[in-house]
Amino acid sequence: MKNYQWNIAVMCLVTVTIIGAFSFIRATPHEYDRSIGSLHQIREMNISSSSDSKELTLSFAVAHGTKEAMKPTVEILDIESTPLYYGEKLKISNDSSQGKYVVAVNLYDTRLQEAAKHNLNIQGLKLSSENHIVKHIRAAYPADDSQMIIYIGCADKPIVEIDEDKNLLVVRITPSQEHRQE
Amino acid sequence: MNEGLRRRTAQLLIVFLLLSYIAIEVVAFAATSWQPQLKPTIIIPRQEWGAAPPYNMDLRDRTKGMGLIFHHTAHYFPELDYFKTAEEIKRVQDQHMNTEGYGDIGYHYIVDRAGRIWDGRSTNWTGAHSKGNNHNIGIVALGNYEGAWGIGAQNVTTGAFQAMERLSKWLVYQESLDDPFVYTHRQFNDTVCPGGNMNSLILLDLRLSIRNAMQPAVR
Repeated sequence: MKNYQWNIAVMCLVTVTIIGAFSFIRATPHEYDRSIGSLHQIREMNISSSSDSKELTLSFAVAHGTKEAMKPTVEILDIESTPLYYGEKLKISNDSSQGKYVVAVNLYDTRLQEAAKHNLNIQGLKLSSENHIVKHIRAAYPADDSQMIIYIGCADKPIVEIDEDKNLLVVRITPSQEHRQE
Repeated sequence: MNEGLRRRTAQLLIVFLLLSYIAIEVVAFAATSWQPQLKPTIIIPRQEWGAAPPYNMDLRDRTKGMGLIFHHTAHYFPELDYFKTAEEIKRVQDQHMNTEGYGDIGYHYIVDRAGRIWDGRSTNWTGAHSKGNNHNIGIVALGNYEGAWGIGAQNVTTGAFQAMERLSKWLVYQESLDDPFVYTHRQFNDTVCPGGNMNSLILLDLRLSIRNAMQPAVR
């Protein structure tokens, strides 16, 4: 191979390598929206229920900006005696339409993508409670710029199971009586 | 010595002792207290960034805090332009009030990448920036200093850091705060805020800068 041909080949190889390296370094999962920021982003929320029980499953599709897991914490609260966040304030709710018990899923460094805001917002989403335990779902934001709570209002005292997979957070809510029968 | 002279001498002695006492107190105060900081050159008022009026009924009176807590918006923002910065601050307020239901923007002051300081929530009100610690003044730097997957983290500009210094020194004096004066959000809550690129800058460099400013005025 002539000298100049060799030089051209090497230059092409180096250029391609540099572009490839640059692209690789800049690559992030395509579902993660850099313009929103934060470590984790909820892309959407799906609700599914079982036909032969009152169990309800909430599935949150998640995009990550870190290898760390979300590690949500869960509390089961009695709505009549426990204050909940409304805006930046804690208040005891007298709104029985939200259910007798509230499952509070606490999330950290998590923001919502646009598609998730439709169902998950501070106004809340009312669900028919005839076939399952959950009556109401809303997002709340404590007076902290990195925390978010998902309040899940339940008609009966629930049992909560949380599974966190790579890009999915699953919250399974079952009435405690149903759970005991199993 | 006649009675009048004795009385006058006694009065002079009392005046002299009183003046000496006052002089000693003044010198001691000057020697141990630090130079009072003038207000930072400019704090840009709320109307400049088009702030919406707060929902006062959602706000609570603020009690004295122990320090200043620093945050980042975790939202990539490279702009230096005045008007784009004003838009960004308005966006933060919109998110806090309309999406998150706060009474006002959660932070008391905002520092931008060009080194300007903007007025946020009134310091008469408790903030909404660090749960359990909102009686402390919250200061946010615009930008994302953590990034995603180890890349894209912004660096604190020199202008921004100098603005943090000016603002902090003034507030530490105003609020009579004690060492270590400044904190970061991650020290109190489970979060990466204010990002890896800003955290040590606050805890090491800014604290040192404030401590140095507190060296006795009289050596």
